[in-house]
Amino acid sequence: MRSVLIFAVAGVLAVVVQTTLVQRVPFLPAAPDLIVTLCVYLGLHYHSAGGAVGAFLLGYLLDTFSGAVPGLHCVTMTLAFGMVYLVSKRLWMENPMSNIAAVALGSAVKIVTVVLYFAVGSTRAVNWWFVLRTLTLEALLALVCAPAVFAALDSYLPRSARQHAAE
Amino acid sequence: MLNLLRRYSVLFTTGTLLVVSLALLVTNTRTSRRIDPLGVVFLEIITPISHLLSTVSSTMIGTWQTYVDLVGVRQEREWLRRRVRELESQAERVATVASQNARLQALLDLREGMPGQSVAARITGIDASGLFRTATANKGERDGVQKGMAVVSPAGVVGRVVSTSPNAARVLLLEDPSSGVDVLVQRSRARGIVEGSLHGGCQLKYVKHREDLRVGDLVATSGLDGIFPRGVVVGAISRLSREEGGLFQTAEVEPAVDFNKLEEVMVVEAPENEVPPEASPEVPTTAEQQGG
Repeated sequence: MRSVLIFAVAGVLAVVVQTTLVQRVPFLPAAPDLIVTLCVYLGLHYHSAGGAVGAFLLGYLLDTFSGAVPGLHCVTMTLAFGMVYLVSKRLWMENPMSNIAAVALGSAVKIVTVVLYFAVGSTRAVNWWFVLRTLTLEALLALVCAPAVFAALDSYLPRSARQHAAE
Repeated sequence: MLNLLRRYSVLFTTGTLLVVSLALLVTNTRTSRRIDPLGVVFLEIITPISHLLSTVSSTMIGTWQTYVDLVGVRQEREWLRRRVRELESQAERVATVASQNARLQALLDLREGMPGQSVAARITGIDASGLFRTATANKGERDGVQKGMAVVSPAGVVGRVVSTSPNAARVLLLEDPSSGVDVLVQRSRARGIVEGSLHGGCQLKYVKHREDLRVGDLVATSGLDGIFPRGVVVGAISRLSREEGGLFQTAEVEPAVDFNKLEEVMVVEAPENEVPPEASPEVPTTAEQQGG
């Protein structure tokens, strides 16, 4: 229950930061994708159906506030969670560098999914330079922010709670 | 089967949610109506928080921006102050140069009107004591300045050279008690001597009692003393003093030259065989005419 609450608060804060606070910072070319960072955290530490639901809901939250077609970020975040989950099941990913690599993986999944959607599913004319530039900048900023986000979550979610949730 | 589901619960859940997500995506892509069952809930939850944070951040950013603006205004104010000082200094320099230019032009005009040789000089100092009225000019024997030469300025008579060195000359000013200049009153052609006085200013002496003198009459050099060229303004009569029964009358003369503001002067060679002018229409006869 504690984990659910903390993730709910973290998700809301991440959306608010992405939609409100970061937009007011001058000279910042894009907002860091904090939601994908949270999904990666879930994929690394919450190997349960709850983790998958959490990633789905975070994606849905992002869809609600991003103006994207509902479902797009649900797909990307669920996929990112799944990919990170599968990798972390096979590789030891308990150090900061592997965490950042996992965020990079999650961001890559998101970029590929969104690009695929625009290429296949969207009927709108696409400015690929703008799409790729924005997604890449968001991913890079997410990599920069990831250690801080992970440290904050680690401090509120002790290892025992995470292991319990995984079991 | 249940064990399999339990073992791969994460993958099953993920797969199911992926299917749901794709269904949501495909449905929303194909239809114009937005199918978003949870969106309203999320909006209701997050909007107040977002509004609150937005307000707080706006206030903080506004405060910071105000501070930054104030710093900018302060820097701009300092810059503008420096600039004003620079411009004031520049304006003073320009005014000084313009004033100097005007004086030198007047001196040049005076030089052209002088009959003999003349040397332009600058007054570099005044008398060290308070009892006498002398000045030092920066031109001396090497420049052709000799003892006894007249010193004039565009305003009028300054004095005469009393001593020289190779590069400097001492000038006895008109208002010194020991100086004397032979003059004519321009209006009445009355002749007299202008001398300096101890209390400052000058006095017109040795004017015959029957001569007509009035306050404001201009007094100019006669050219008969062998020192000053004729027609150079000495000053204007400021007060009359007529003693009953005396042979001569006296008058106070306000010098045309302000000796406290002397800068450039002309040292003029003594004239030869000057003849007193009976009438010189180009020279004004009263102080009012000179001023007007």
